[in-house]
Formats: sequence, structure tokens, C-alpha cells
Amino acid sequence: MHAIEVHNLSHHYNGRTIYQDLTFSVREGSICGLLGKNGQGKTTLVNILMGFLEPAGGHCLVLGEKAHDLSPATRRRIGLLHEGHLAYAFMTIDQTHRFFQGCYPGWKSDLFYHLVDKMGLPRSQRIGTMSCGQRSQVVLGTIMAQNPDLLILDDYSMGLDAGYRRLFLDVLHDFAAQGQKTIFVTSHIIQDLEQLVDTLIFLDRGEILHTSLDAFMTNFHHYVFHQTGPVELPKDELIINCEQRGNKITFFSWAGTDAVQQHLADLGIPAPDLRRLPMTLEDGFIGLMGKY
Amino acid sequence: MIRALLFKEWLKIRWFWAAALAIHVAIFLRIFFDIRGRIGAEHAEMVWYQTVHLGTLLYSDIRYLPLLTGLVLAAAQFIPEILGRRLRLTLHLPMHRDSMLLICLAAGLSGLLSLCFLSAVSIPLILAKTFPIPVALSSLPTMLPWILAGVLAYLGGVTLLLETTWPRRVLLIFVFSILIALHYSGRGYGWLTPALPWLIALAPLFLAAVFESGRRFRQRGA
Amino acid sequence: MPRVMTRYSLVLLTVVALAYLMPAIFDTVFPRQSTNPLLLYSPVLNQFIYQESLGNHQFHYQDEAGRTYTRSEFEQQLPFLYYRNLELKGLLPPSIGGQAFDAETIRAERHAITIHSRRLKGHFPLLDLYPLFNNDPRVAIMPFPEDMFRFTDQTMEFINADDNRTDQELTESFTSALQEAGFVFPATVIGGNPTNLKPFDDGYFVRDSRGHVFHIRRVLNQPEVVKTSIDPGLDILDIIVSEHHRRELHGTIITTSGKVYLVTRESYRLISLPISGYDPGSMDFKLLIDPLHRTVTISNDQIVHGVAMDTAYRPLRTFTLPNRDLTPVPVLFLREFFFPFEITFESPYRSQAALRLVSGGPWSFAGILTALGLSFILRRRPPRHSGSWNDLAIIAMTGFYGLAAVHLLDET
Repeated sequence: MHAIEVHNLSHHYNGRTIYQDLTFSVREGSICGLLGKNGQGKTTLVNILMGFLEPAGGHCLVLGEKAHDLSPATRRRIGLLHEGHLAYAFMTIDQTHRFFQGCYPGWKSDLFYHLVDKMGLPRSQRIGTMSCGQRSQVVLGTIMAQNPDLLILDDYSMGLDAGYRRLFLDVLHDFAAQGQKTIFVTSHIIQDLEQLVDTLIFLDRGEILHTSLDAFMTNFHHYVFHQTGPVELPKDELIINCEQRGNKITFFSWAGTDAVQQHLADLGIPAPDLRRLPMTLEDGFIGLMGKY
Repeated sequence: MIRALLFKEWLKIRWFWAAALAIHVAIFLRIFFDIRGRIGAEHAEMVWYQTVHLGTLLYSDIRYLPLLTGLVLAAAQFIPEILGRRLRLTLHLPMHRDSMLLICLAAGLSGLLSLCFLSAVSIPLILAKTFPIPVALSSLPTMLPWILAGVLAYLGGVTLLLETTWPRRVLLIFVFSILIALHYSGRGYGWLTPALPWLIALAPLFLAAVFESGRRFRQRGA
Repeated sequence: MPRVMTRYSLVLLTVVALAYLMPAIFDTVFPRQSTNPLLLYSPVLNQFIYQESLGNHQFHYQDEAGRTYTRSEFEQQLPFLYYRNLELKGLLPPSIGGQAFDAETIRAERHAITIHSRRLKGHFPLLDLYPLFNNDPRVAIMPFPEDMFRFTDQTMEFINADDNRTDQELTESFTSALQEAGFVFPATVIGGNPTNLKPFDDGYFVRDSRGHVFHIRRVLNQPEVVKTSIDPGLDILDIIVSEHHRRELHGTIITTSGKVYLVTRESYRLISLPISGYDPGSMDFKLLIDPLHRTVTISNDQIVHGVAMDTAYRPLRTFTLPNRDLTPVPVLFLREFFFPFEITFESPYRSQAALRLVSGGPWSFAGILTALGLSFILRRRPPRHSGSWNDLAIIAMTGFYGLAAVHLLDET
């Protein structure tokens, strides 16, 4: 069973094709991170999934219904975190609680106040007067108290310092631990996602790469070797994003050390000290997508 | 859910509503003292004559009050939703979206109409103190077009705020201004009374226009 | 709410706004002009003579026989109307119709009664509250009474303006005077002049629920009620009281069927005016009284019809003149072409809103076809889905208004 199913999705913006025939799905109970550089249509995809944009072609099902035409019952099962931690700025903490409690029958007051009271703010404080971090905590409390089956988080880390980010992750971990809860998340802070997600979707020039985190971290490698003269490494199937600094040459590859060594030898490039570097998800992301 | 939505709308408009209430009361007082001053300065029968046979309106101060109230309430309710795309929060609430918009409009219209109702009670009462009952009652059909203009200004204001493109906004401002200006034609009391059924018929069309803009707002990526 | 409903509501609003505003703007830029004839009876020629506008403040003067006149000649044919001018210029004829008149006699014998349809009962908003002036020969000026009266179902109620309370004494005395005279409440028509800008006060003429007309005056603060002999079977629309120093008439009665009666001061005897084709709802009425003749003209925006009578109101001569449209043909064409109909609130026959849908003319069909053609061109493709057909149907009904609305409100 899939929480999100995207079939042959295509979309244009101002006459420019953003994607054509995009297909992927997110399994129920998984935590999926969407990664892509700026301008690759990440926000558009999230907008389509959230139901605020009707795709030009193909379809996009969220919890089995068309994303842009969700029934109220299905919307109730989905928690959205909007870019910039949107909240009703004119409400106080208590008013926010009172309002959302009236909207969601399964509202968990304890959970809401548990998360919000951590900041030690008076409950009569207006959200409009809070810092971004404080506001994010109220938004998190609101989403969690709704007890949704699917969370879609659009760049939850934006504007948050390390402390609030960590707090956010803790809560998401607890949420995911309940089982059968799906999280679809985008973030600029990729190292955070490494702690959280089990599935990755890379979005690059209208193409996607859908993989599990484990598979990616196991199969994608960062290599280094040294060479005194100038070296011209070709861009091919094995060598991705080569970089040279002084006599140190680094590159990425889906291939194992032996295959790479053989490949370099075939190219006439001796790399006697070729070895793998430890790789974080962020390194891998840069390796796969490039820096710019 | 309906109660929660009404609570949210009330939070947005309450101070504006209270300010509008204060202004209404201030204008009622002004009209009251103005009439008293006139009666003191001229013979009462002359003021009667001006009112009945020359069509002088002693309560024309409230002419544009419903219009302004309608615009302010529309802005108070929908600007906080549109700023920073907060309407997305509302659109995701687990309720049918048209019903939700209808409840928001009902909240704003209640705020507006409660003040109009206050005028419709206060002005005849003020007039009845100095003038015969028919004069007091004639203020009702005279004020009704102004109240309708307020309702249209409210609905038109919301439609404009939800509209996303400038060319269409300009067109809507043009169309709405003409239709609202109609409600201020003529002079004296009861001039528009024969046209009231037609003016009332504009309200459902304006209401439908809000939903047209609401739909476009959602389709254009909210 | 279905899309088709929301979209076409907005289209309809746009069409209404355009149909109201655009013709009005057009008329401001290209004003309508007509001959606007002024029809008068000349006691010199013993025939009708008239002035027609040519636009731009130019006038044309002509008589029934087709002879044309200069302005000065025109005035000379109408000595009772222009006696002041003629007197100043020394042109007042020594005799008119065989009789000699000096300016003073002319002035004393002249009277004009004008009844505009927009001032008729029911054609303007009016609260039935009137001042009843006190007739007191000792007081030269006519002060406003401190009270106003109205007819309730049982009484003629006087309300005092100073305390806004019913004046019981006056109410009782007038009510009982009316009852004694045989008045059956409530009142159905009330006619009188609620102004003190008149030479004397002739009170009010009030028709009771049985059709009888009563003449009510206030003399030395006491009621004076006369039950007139006016036929209770008359379908009286309005009674226009004329307080005039000639004291020949109390006023004029207009019936719903377009008959006009003058109420004389000889025991309220009625004089039926020999006019036909008068529709009080959409025509203006004018009676000119001069020493030798009585002339009635009735007019609307199409025609003016005149009846000249002798002093006994016997018809002498009639004449009908069309009010010709002088608007240039291209302007009329453009107006019809672009505006298949217009919505207007104002009427020349009412002093109150009268919402009317005025249709265009034959050229409007050409305009509609052009609008449809333009719609095809603007679309650059044949109509495919039902929405396009709906749009075309709107344009077929509303022409350029619909074309503008449909295309300005297009999604793409």
C-alpha cells in the first residue's frame, strides 16, 4: 500500500517543462526525503502533493485520492508543514489550540501543550510575536496533535537553529516510531535527513532517482587518489563529479574500488593510492547532483 | 468545526468590528445632535417641511458607512489569510472548501449586517423623536440600498482579495464600482425603492463571484 | 458551487455594468439631439406656431401653414406670451383679434398650468404629510402652520411639529367636520400645494373612500369642509390645486384614463378638456390661459399635440407635431450597433428610480453578428467544449457587452 503515488506527472511553468512523465511512489510507513537543488521543481512537486497546484498532466494520488481534490476526511489524515512554518499569526497559543481542537476530532491536547510548553511561553502569547523557532514549535505541536497518518513537511529546517532542528527531529522520530505513519520531507539541511529518512528521492533536471537510504550509502562511493601532473578525467558512467585540488583528485562512482581502478588503468591514468573516503549523505548528494 | 471557523473569523474581525461599532454610535449621536440643533435654529415645522417635501435627508451621514464597514471587514478577514499564503492552512482544514468559504463569508456578513441592523433601528428611533412615524419609517427603504451597497462592497472586496491576477482585478474593480455606485443614485428619500428587488438580486451574483475567485486562487497554486 | 454558475454570475455582472455605463458614456460624448418643439397658438394668425431646435442653440420658427419667422417675428405672433418684450420694443399690437389689450390686462388674464408626469402621484416618493395653511385675512404673509396633517383610517390627524404629538383638538375638529360633511375614511387622493410661495391658500382637495371629493380649508384655525359635486365615479389619479390670482379655477383633475377636468370656482363645476390620446403616466400636460384662448399641449419624446380653445373651452383647432431626432445618423448607427440594449435607472416620466431595459434597433443585430465574428477571431479556433458554446450564446444575446465580458473573464 502506498501513501503517495505519482504517475506520469508532468508540469510546466511559464512555458518551461519542469518534468515530464515523472513516476514514483512512497510506501506507507516509510520516511521519504525529497532532495534536489534549487530550481529543480522541488517546491512545485510539494505544492502538487499538498494539493495546491493541479498538475498539467498525469496524476498524483495521496492516500488514494487525487491530491488537488482531497475529500475532507482524507485531508484530516494529512498533516502539512508549509514552507516558512505558516501559522495563524493573529492567534495566541491557547486560541490555536481551541481552533484546531474544534477542527480535528482526534486532537491530542496533551501532545500539543507538551510540545509547546517546552518553550516556556505564556499561552496567551500571540504567534505573530514569536521567533521563527518558537513558531515552528507551535506548528509542530499543531500537526502532531492532529495525529495524522501522513506528514508532508516542506523544508521544516528553514530558519531553525540547531537546537530547534534537533527538537523537531526528535519529535519526528517519536512520531515515526508509532508505525504505519508516513513522512514525506524536504530540507536544505541534508545531514539531518540522514538521521531520519529511510528512502530518498533525488530530483534533478526533471529526472528522479528513487532509492533507499541504505542502498545509496552502500552503493555510492567517494574516491580519492593523488597525481602530480594535470589529469583530465572524462565524465562517463563510472566517474561522476570529478574534482582536482592541487595533486588531490576526488570523484564519485556507483562502482566498487576494483572496477574503478581497472577503469582508470584502461584510461591510462595510474592511481596507485586510490581509496574510498568516508561519505555523508550530504557528500553523496553533492557528488550526485554537483555543487551548482 | 463550524464553531471553530467562526471563532477564527471572530478573532480576525473583532477589533475592527468594535471600532466600526464605535464609529456607528458616534455617527448616530452626531445625527441626533444635528437634528436637535436644526430644530433649535429653525422652526420645527420648517425642518419638517424640508424633510417631507424637499427631500432633505438628515441621516445622510451614514450613507457610506455600510460600504466602508464592508470593505474593512473584508480586508480584516482575508488579508491575514492571503499574507504569506496563510489561506493554505485554511484550505487544508478537513471541511468542504466551498462550505468553509461560505462560513467565513457568513461570519463577515453577520458582522456587517449586525451594524446595519443597528442603524436600521437607531435611525428610525432618532427620527421618531422629532418627526412623525412615516418620516421615521421612510428612512428604512432609503437606507436599504446603502446597506446593500455594504454587502456588495464586502463580497466584492473578498473577491478582489482572492483574485490573483492584476488585469482581472482591474476589471473587477471597474464592474463592482459601477454596480455599487448604482446604490447611491437619486436624491431624497425612497428614490431607489422601486428598484430594490433588482438591487437585492445583485447580491447572489456577487456571492457567486467570490467562489469564482476562490476557485481561481486554489487553482493558481494558492 | 458549480464553475458554470460562478463564472457566468461574473459575466452577467460585467454585462449589466457595461449595459448601464457604456451607453451613458456614449451619450456624453455624442449627445442626443431632437427638435424639442415648443407649440403655441397665435391669436394673431389664429393658427399654431412653433419653435424647433436645430441644435447648438439655433432655432427655427414656423407656423402651421409652413411660413417661417425670425425670432422677433415669432414673438410678435404671440403677443400674450411675449407682451413684456414687445412692450419694451414698442411692438405690442394695438389690437389682437379685434380687441385692444394693454400689458396690465394681459398680465392679469394669463395663467399657465403645467403638469409633468414626473410630478404626478405615484411617480415620485412622497410621504402623505401636508401643512394646512391657515386662512386669516388679518395676516398678510402666509406663515407655515406648526403642524402637519395626514389621513389615517379613521381621522384627519394633525401632528404638532414642536412636540411631535397629535394635536387632539385640531384632529377632532377636522375629523368631525369631515364626518359631518359625509366624508368616509380613509382618503384615497390628496391634492394641494404644501408651500407658502403662492398668492393665497386654497387648501386641499381630498377624495374619500367612496369617491367623493371634499374641499378642506383651514379658516381662522377652524375647519371649512365642502363636499363637492364632483362625480364620485371619476377614476381620479391626481388633483392639482392651482392658487392663481385670476381665481377662475381651483385646479385640475387628472384621471387614470387620461381625461383632464378643470375644477371651476363656480360650485366646483367641472370643465372637461377636449383632448384625446393623453397618457398621464408618460406625457406632460400644459394649459395656457390668455385673454382670448385656452391652449392645451400634451407631449412626450415623440410628439407634441395641441388643442386651441375659446374662452369657453370649446375646441377651435388642433395640431400635432413630431419631435424629430436630430442626432446624426452615424451616431445613431454606432449606438445601435454597439449597444443591443441598455439598462437605465432614470425615466423622464418619474422622479424615482425606474429600472428599464431599453432595446436597441435593427443595427443591433449587425453588432451582435460582428461581436460573434470577433469572438471567433479572438479564440483562433472553433468552439469545442460546452463552455465555448455558452460563451457564444451569451454574445448572441448581449453583443459587444457579452464579447467584452466573456473574453476579459477568460481563464487563458
